[in-house]
Amino acid sequence: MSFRMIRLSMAFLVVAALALAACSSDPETITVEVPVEKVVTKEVEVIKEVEVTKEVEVEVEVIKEVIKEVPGETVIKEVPGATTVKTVNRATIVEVEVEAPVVYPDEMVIAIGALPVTLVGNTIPSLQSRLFSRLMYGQLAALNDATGQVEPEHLESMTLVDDTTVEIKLKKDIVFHNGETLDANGLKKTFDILSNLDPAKFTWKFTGFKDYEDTGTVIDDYTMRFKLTAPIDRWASAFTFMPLAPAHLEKVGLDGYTDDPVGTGPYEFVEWTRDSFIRLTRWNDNPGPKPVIKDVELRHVPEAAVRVAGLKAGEFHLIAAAPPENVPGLIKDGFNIFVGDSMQSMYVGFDIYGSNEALRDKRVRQALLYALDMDAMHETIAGGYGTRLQCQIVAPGGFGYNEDLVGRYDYDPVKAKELLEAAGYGDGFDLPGSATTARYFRDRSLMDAIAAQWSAIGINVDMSYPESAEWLQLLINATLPDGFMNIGLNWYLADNTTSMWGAASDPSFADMRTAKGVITDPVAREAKVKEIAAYICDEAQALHAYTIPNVFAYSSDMPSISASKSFELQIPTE
Amino acid sequence: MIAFIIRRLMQAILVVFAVTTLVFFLIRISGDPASLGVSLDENRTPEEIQAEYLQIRKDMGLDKHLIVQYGLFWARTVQGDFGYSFRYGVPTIKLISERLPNSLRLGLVALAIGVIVGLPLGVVAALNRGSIWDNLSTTIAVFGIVVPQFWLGIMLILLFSVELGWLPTSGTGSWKHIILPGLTLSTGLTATVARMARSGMLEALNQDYIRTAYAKGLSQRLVILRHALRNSSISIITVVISSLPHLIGTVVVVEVVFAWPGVGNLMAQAVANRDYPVVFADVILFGTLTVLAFLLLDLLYSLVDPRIRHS
Repeated sequence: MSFRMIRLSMAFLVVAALALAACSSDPETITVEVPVEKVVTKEVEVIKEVEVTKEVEVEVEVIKEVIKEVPGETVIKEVPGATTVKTVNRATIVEVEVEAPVVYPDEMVIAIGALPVTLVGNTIPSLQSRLFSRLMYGQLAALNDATGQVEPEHLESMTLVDDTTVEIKLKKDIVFHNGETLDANGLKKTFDILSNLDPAKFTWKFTGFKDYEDTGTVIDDYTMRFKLTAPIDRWASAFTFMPLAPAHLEKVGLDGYTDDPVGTGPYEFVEWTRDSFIRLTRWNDNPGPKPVIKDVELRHVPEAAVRVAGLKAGEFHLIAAAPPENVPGLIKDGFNIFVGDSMQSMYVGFDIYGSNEALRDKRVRQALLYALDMDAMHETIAGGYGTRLQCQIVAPGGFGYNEDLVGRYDYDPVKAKELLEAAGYGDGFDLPGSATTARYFRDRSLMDAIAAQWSAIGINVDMSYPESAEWLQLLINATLPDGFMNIGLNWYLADNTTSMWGAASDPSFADMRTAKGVITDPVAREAKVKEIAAYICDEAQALHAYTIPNVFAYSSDMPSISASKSFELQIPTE
Repeated sequence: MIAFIIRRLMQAILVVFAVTTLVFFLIRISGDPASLGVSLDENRTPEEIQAEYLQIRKDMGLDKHLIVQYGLFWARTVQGDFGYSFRYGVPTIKLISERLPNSLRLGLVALAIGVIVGLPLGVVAALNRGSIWDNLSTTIAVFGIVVPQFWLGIMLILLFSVELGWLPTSGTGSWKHIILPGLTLSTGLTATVARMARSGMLEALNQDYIRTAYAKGLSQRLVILRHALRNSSISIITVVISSLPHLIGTVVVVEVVFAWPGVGNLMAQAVANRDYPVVFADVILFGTLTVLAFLLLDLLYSLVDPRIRHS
C-alpha cells in the first residue's frame, strides 16, 4: 500500500472524527412550548339569522366534522350521525372549506420497537404487536375506547340470553383476503384449533374461552351459542377474536399460517422476515372503507433514538413510541405528533401482602399519598403526556370514572406529617419497596422520585430493583419485600378496573370485587366500579399515577394519523 | 499434527460444555420464563395467578428437578435437537439458521475494516514515531478501544444518516446497510490491530536485517513491505484472530442498535425473555466460534513454531 493511500486514509479518519465531535457537541435545546396535538384542522361555523316568517321549531344538525384548512370552494356540508340540537327560529348553517383531493404517498414505513413473533391473529401477546394485527385482522367484536365496552364488529349481534348463555350472530358478508367467507362452522373450527395447541410447542395460550364451558355450539350458519361457567361481567371479552380463514388454517396449520396469514382487515399480507420487517398492501376487495395509504411496511427498530434518527433521515414515515423528550424537537422540525393515552397506567400498590404493620394503618397510607407531588412527577417524568389519574385507575371518560375523587389527595406534605404523627409514626419508619426497571414506561424514575418524596416526610425507603423476570417471579410467589411495589396496570376494560394488588388482602375489597364480577348489566356494573374506586381511594390502598402515553411521530406528507388506547393505528380511509 | 488437532478439539468440546453448563445454571437464578407468560392484569386473585404460573412452568417442563432438566437438555442437544423457542414457537435451529448468515456477513465486514484501516494506521505511526501522525494514530486507537459502541453507533447514525443522508440508519437490504454497523463493530479491532502493527513494526525496524536491506540500496517502500511488515505479520494475525471472541461478544450491542437481524440481536431478545432454548443454542454457537478461533490460532502457532506442537 502506498504512503499516499495511507495518508489519505488518515485524513479521512481525522475528518470523520471531527465531524463526529461536531455532531455530538450540538445537543438539541428543548425550550419550546409543546402542544399535545398539532392543530392542522379548522372548524368554520357561521351562524346566520334567518328571517322569521313563522314561529316554528326547527331541528337542525350541528356539524362536527373537521376538515383541513385549504383555500377553496365554500360548501355547506351535512354530516350524517352528527349531534342533533334544537333551536327555535334560527337555523344553524355551517360552512366548511374543503380542499382539493390530497394525494398521499403510496407507501408508509413504520418503525416500531417490537414486531410480532407470529403473524397468526389471536396468538400475538404483545401490546405493540396490535399495531400490525389490527391492520391485517378484523375482530368479531372490539373495544370501543369511548365507552370502554366491547362492541360488535364482524358480529351482527352479541347477546346475553340469560345469566350464563351468550348468543352471537355473524354478519353474512365477512370475507377473508383469500376469498373464503366466514360462517359459524368455520369459526367454531378455528376456536377449537386454537384452544387445543400443543403446550410443549406453544407457550402462549389462547384463553379467550376461559370463562366458558367450551368453545360453543353452532346453531345455524351464522349463529353460535356459548355457555358460561358462571355469570360474569367480562363475558364479552371472549369475542374480541380475530377470525382466521378456516379452510386455509386447516390446510397449512398454524406454522404455515404465520408464513402466509389471511385475515379480514383493511390490509393483506405481502411478505415478512422475522424480527426485521412486515410488508402489507391495501386489500382492494375490501367491502369496507379503504385506507388512503396503499402499502405499509413495519420495520423492527428496537432503539428509540434510532427510530427518531430514521424519521429525521426520511427513512421512516411514522415512528411508534417516540420518546416524549424528543417531541419538541420533532415538532420544531416539522413532524406531526399524535399523543394519546395507552390502556396502561402506572400504579403503586401499598401493603401488598397485608402484613406491613405501619401500612395497615389507613392514616399512614393516606400520608403516603399526600406526600407526593404527582403533578410535578407527571410533568417531569412523563413530559406531561398521558393522563394524570385522580385516585382511581380510570382516566376521565373511562368506564366507571368517578368525578368525586378528583383532588382527593392533592399534594400536602404538612398534612402528611400530621397524619404520620397521629398514627404514631412522627419519627418516620422503615419502608421496603420493590420495582421493575424498564419493564414499564420510566418505572424506575417514577419509583426513585416517589422514594425521595417519602423520605422528605421522614420515611426511610429501602428500594430494590430486581431484574424484570425475577421481580415477576417474586411477585407471583408472594415473596417481594413486604411494603409497596409498582406495576403497569391495564385499565381500559371495565372488567379490569378493580384489579388491585395493594388491596388484594382487604376482605371488604375482595367482597366488593366478587359482587361486581357477576353484574352483567353495564349500568349497574359501572355504579359498582365507581363505588369500589371510592372505597379504594378513601382507604388509600394504592397510588394511581398517570396513564402511559402513546406517542407517535410522523412526516408531514402523511395523512392525519391517530391510535387507539390499545395501540391500534388508525389510518384515514378514502 | 493430527493428534495435536484431536487433542485441541477435545479440549474445545470440554470448554463449550463447561460454558453451556455454567449458563444453564446461572440463567435460572434470575427468574424463569413462566413468570413472563402470566397475565397480571386480569381480574383474578393472586392465588389464581400463581396457579396459572405453575401450569405454565409445567407446560414448559420447568417443574422438573433442575438436574433432570439439565440431563434432558443435553440428551436432546447431542441429537441436534435444540427444542422450540419459548417465545417464537418455532424450532430454535430454524431461528439460528435464519440469522447466522447475517451475523457472519457483518463480522467479516468488521474484520476487513479492522485490518484495512488498522494496519496502515499502525504502520504510519511506527514510521513516524513521535510525530503528529504517531500521536494521531495513538489517539484514534485509544478512542477505538474506549468508546462505547452503543454511543458510537448512534453518533455515526446522526452523522451519516441524519446529517449527511448517505447511509440508512438501520435494517438490511442493500450493501449500504452494512457499512455503519460494520464500522461500529470494527472499532475495537481497528484499534487493537493499529497498536499491534505499530509495536510490531517498531520492533522489526530496529532489526539488523532492516539495516542490511537499506544498505543494499532497497527503497523504503520495499523494505517496509517485504521485510518489516512481513516479519511483524505473525503478531498481527495473532491479534486479529484473538480479537474474534471480542467481536462475537460486541456483535450483540451493535446488532441491537442497528436492528441488524443476526444471532446477537436474537440473543439479546432471548435473554430478556428467558427464552432458554434460544439462549443455550446461542451460547453453544458463540462458544464454538470462540473456541474455533483459538484452535485456529493454536494451529497457526504450531505451524510457525513446532516447539508448541511438541509441548
